[in-house]
Amino acid sequence: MSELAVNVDGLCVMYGSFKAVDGLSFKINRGEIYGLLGPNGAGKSSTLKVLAGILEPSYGKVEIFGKPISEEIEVKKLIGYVPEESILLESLTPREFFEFIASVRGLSGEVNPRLSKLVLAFELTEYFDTPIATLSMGTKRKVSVISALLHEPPLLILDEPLIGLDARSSRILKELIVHHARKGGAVVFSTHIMEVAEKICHRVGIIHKGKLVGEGTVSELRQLIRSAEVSLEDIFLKVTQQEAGIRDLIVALEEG
Amino acid sequence: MAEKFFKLWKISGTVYREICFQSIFSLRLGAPLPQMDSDKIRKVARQVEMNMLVSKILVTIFVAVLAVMPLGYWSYFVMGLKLVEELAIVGCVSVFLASLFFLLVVLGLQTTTSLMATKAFEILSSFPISRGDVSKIALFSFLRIFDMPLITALAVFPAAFSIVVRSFFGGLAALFTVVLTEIFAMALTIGLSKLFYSRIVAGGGGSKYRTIMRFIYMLIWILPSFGIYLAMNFATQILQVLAYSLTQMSVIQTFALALVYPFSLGFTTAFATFPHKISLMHAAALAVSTFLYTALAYLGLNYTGSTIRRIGSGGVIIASKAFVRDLVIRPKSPYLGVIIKDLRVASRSPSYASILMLPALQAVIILISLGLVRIDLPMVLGFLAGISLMSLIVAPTLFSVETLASAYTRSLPLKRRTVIAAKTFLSTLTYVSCVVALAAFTLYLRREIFSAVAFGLVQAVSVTAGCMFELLLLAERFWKIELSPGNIYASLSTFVMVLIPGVVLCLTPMMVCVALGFSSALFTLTVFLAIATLELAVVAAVTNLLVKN
Ligand SMILES: Nc1ncnc2c1ncn2[C@@H]1O[C@H](COP(=O)(O)OP(=O)(O)O)[C@@H](O)[C@H]1O
Ligand SMILES: [Mg+2]
Repeated sequence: MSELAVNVDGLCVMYGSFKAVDGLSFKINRGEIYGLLGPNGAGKSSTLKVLAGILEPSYGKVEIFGKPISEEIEVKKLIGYVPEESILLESLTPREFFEFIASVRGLSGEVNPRLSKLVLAFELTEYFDTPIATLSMGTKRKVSVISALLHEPPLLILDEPLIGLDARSSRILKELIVHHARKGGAVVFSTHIMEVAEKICHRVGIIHKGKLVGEGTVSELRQLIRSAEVSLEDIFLKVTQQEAGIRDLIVALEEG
Repeated sequence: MAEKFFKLWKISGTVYREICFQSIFSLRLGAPLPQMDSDKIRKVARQVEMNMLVSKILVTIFVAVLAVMPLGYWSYFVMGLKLVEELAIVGCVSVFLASLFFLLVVLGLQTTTSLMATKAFEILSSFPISRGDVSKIALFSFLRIFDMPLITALAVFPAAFSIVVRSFFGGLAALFTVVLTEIFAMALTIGLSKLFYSRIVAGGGGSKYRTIMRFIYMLIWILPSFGIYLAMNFATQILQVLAYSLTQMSVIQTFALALVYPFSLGFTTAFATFPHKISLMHAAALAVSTFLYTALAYLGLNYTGSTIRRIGSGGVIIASKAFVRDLVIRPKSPYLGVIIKDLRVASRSPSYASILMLPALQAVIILISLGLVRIDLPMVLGFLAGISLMSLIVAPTLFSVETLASAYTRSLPLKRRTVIAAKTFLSTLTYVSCVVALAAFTLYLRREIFSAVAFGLVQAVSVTAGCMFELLLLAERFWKIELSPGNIYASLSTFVMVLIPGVVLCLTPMMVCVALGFSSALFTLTVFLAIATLELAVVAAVTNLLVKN
């Protein structure tokens, strides 16, 4: 397998005539945690959906571990995906849902010890036989996170994974992400939460209106702005050119 | 007051549209609408509204026809069967009430489960609208599900009745019985949906006990649709049987009948029309039963109101946490995994479940007629064609299950071949199990069953070919573009375009046999098998060629 986990080159995603992702290019190495940052509607979810094989790219080249994304089945075996909205097969229970996922992924009963550990870690045990339709948003998210981790995929694709998770679970997930990368796996996730990106990402890409407007390690990006003091949030606002606007807005609001 | 009423009525319109949308995209959650711009989405929403309106108008026409039809037999009853007029009234009124009841329940069940599940009321509650008003909106949205048929029944039947029978009080009584029936139907609808929602959707998965309970509730749910199907198939027979038995009945028997719904209400109408013709004993019985049914309707109305109010305040869904024995799962092959998942999903959603039951329903209808008539080979073929057609409807329905949560499941390495194979198997299974049941029953009746079994099994090959071809078309056309999930009404045109080639494939071998005549059963059977096998081989080869993974 190639050293590159993800290779995206000139990716475009169109919704009708609307261009949600516009010529995006980035690479993710093995063992790397890559954060995709951007304001609402920037095109993060659309990008991740392409990587997960849910959306077809309108243009551009996308390779996962050297395999073109068009080799659907082979590529999908290598990934675990947590969607932004945890909308699963609502009438199934988590047990039935995991059974379905494991069957489709061709796993055997050997997956059980791992499943038990994950279920215990995320405190899902008591909901194991309750229909997913009746679970809370956070609990549903746990189900989708566990489904993504079940087969130990070399590439994890997480769309705003921490939203809706309680403190304990979000801590566990962060640890799992770091552990996953340390073992040589690659992770790409989108987030709004700057501190998280700052703490666990090896590199971040900032995307705005479907275009990559900044990329690098957090310290590289700081150099770009030429100030050691600034936080990722400042960088983010700067490169997406929202900073000036926000200041004006706040002033206007305070003046009432 | 009136102004406020109109305001709430208007809001309920929005809620109602949302409910329709959800029931058509039943459990639509998670079926993505990607690669659609807002124009397209608006178009889909409009289409849903149109579909809802069309099905409502169809039901309304149905109600109107049902309301006039029994009265059309009036002269036949009175002149032909020499049935006394008051008994003819009993026949007409009770048949209409029974059909109206079933029709309303079936119509209501299509949408009320969505009423239970909708988040619309939660959202409304967060607006500056009082709790009481939210409940009223819930009630109005519920009424909107039924509005046209309710009003049609109320207007057409009493009017037609008073014209045919020439009695004003009779018409008034007819109106009263229709009101009672509508209340009963709504109460049953709301009760069944609540049961379905709280016990089946929200009520835990695992244990054997729950599986059995779910099955029983499913049967309860199916019963009304079954009833209406029977009524449609046998409406005239039922009327005739009823009219005939009424002429044969002893006084005691009619007396007992006067206590039972819907006949009791028929007697009430008859009494109001011809007060002098009813014996004192009957009158007394009627007074009692009318009082009881009115009280029951009152309770039903209260129950409906309070349940809907609870929906408005979000108190219906009871999630019972099941006891968790262990955390062990038993993965199967991908193929079996899809089959099991489909069975689970389909059995928990009324709209899928009812379609999955269609072949069985058809088989039951056939069983009943088997008891009544002599069968010959062409008739057997006709029966088999009927069940096959139902199975051909099952296949696309199963495919649409695949769109549920596809925004997630599409990230799984699931091969299209596996999906086609699994769903072909399941659809064919619905056919084969019906044929086996039919064969067992003919054996029990000691009929000559060789032809039924042999032709039934050979036809299974054509059913497989038909279903596989339908699924191939769907997989080729809709794997990338989304098929609107949920019930088939949502994409009727697509559905028909897929169904037609499936039906042609499935019935061609049989048609050839019919064309050949039935001089030798063995020869016919051989030709049948040859053509069917050829078809299946071709479809399988094409699938193999087109669907690489
Ligand atoms: N199914 C869709 N149809 C039309 N437009 C869409 C669809 N999904 C997303 N969009 C639009 O594409 C843009 C990017 O969306 P998305 O990728 O979800 O952004 P993000 O995840 O960064 O918030 C947004 O403007 C959004 O409105
Ligand atoms: Mg997003």
